[in-house]
Amino acid sequence: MKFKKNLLIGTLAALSLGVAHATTGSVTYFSGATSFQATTDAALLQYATNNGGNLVTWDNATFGKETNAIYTYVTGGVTNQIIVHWAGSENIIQALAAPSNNPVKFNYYGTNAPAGLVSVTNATNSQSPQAALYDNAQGTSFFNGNSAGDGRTYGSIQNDTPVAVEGYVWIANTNWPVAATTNATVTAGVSTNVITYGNITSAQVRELFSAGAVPLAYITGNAGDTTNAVFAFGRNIDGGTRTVWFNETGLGVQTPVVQYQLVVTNGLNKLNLYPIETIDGISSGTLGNSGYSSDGTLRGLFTNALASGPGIDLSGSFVGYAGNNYFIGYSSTHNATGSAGVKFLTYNGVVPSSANVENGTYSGWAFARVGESATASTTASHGVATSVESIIQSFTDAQLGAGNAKISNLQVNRDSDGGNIYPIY
Amino acid sequence: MKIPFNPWIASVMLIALLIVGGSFVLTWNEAVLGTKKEVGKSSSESLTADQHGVVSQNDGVKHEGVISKNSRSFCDLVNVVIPSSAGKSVSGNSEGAVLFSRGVPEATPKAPSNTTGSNSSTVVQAVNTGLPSLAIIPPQHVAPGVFVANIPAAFGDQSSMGDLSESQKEKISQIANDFTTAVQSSQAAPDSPEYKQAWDTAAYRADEAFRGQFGIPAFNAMQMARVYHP
Repeated sequence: MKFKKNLLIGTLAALSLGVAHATTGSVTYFSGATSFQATTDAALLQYATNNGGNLVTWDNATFGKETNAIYTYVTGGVTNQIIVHWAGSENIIQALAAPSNNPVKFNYYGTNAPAGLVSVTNATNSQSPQAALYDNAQGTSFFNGNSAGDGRTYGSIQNDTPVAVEGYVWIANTNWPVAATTNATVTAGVSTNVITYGNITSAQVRELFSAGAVPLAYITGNAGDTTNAVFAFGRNIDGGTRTVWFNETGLGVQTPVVQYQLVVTNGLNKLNLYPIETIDGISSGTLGNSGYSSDGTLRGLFTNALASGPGIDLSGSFVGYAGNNYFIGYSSTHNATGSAGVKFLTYNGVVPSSANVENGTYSGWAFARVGESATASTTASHGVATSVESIIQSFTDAQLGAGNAKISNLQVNRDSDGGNIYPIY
Repeated sequence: MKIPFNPWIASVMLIALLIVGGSFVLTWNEAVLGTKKEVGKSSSESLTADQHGVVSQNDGVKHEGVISKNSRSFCDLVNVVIPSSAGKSVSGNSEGAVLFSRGVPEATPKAPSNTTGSNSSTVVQAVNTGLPSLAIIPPQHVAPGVFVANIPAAFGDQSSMGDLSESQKEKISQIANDFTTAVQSSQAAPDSPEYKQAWDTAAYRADEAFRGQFGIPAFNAMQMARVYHP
């Protein structure tokens, strides 16, 4: 898969050499949540190529993992640009809804950025997004009205439109000791095996992330695991993944949690309570309440095994367990699928799959949404937003990626992130 | 604030006023905006002592007891209907009764036709506590003074949640405001089935939002705190 993506990048790079990059047409500043990046990138690319344009600038060798990009499209013989910046969902909602007299801006590439694979350091064009994709609703966001406490009164995102269902999953690290179970699932006639390694319930999530660590026996039910430990890992408040899961599990978006940070020192895996930091203008307030800045960064840690017993170096007042140490975190399902070292858990006894999202049995999902800025959108950006909406809505389950689902395939619905799921058949 | 004249509402108000036979306090309730401007005061009897009442939570159980004028339960955070003695309206605070919806003084909710008993109740609100205040009338569909409405957790006593940051308090107020706005936007008469439906839908969503933002333990604590035990 990665080879194909890199091949695509190479092809696009070759094509882009002959493309006049500078443009006299319109410019749309678009932003997207990293947890749904691969799908959104595919939609942007489809829109560009369907309209005589292409991907011309990006900053990661793997398509779908860049931080910034520029797409072009042609209307009436004029080349237009879509300049894209990827960020956390909460940061995107913040930027879309911020007042014009106190805006929130991202660093985009400039309209004259060079074509091809370039450095992220070229992104110095400070702009507010005009349209964006985000994966939690503004109603569950920190940035709604003046409740963020950052001095801004946030307005409503315009033309907020659900475009797909994004699935999320609980994951454990590489040496997680629970045996694998192969679960055959069928989505839209396509059979897929989802391999899981035990289960976690919403009540266990609440306890684990309230305490920061619990005996492994509390998760597995095995008496022999009482001397082994499980630590909580997670995202900072910028993450839509965090917002969705804390809603879904009843932990509470506003509830301070205890999450750990992995630090490798002299070959020894050390755990710190995640330091207090200010993200999107909001202080995490307490040790352990912040976390990693993206699903990808968090997921990348799960290839690590922790030293056992006294070999683990713990900060804070937590007293280590005598046995082995493991950790659990969360991610979007599609992003975590196929990642080395990441072990999926079932949630409340249900396998994370597109089919189980659609039939209502798996509740770890939320709508990915496209919306527009109340203050910065233009006719051109509105056109881009509605086109991207239509393209993503037309994608099949397979195109949307593992664990995600096409809205029209849903046999259920929910009115808010983490809200009750009810049948619509 | 411009008050649109609605003949239908005016008629209902007039009839209700005649039924109750008491005079009403006409007070703007702008608690949502953080202020409360009293434009009239003529309550026959203010609640200067504890008041007896019956509350039915959404568990179907009627909780009968005393509503204290100094109560910190939901009764002093929201407008509640308290059965009054014949011909007398009561007030939950010494400042006078408060009775409003959509900026228009509301008629006393009438009991539905399949209920018994006189409709001798009115709406009261306690002193401005600075906490979210419900500027609308809970529907009553069993009997006068018996509430079948689910009062959203956002209107509960926040002291049950421990120390809250200003932004957390603001979030609670926002949920409460969204609820009030949703019920008001139904444009339904307070004694109509449509009003009850609008209330229930808005309360359901408000509680979902509260649970999602503050978690199940806090939601449960707020629910427990708003149940009055004599």
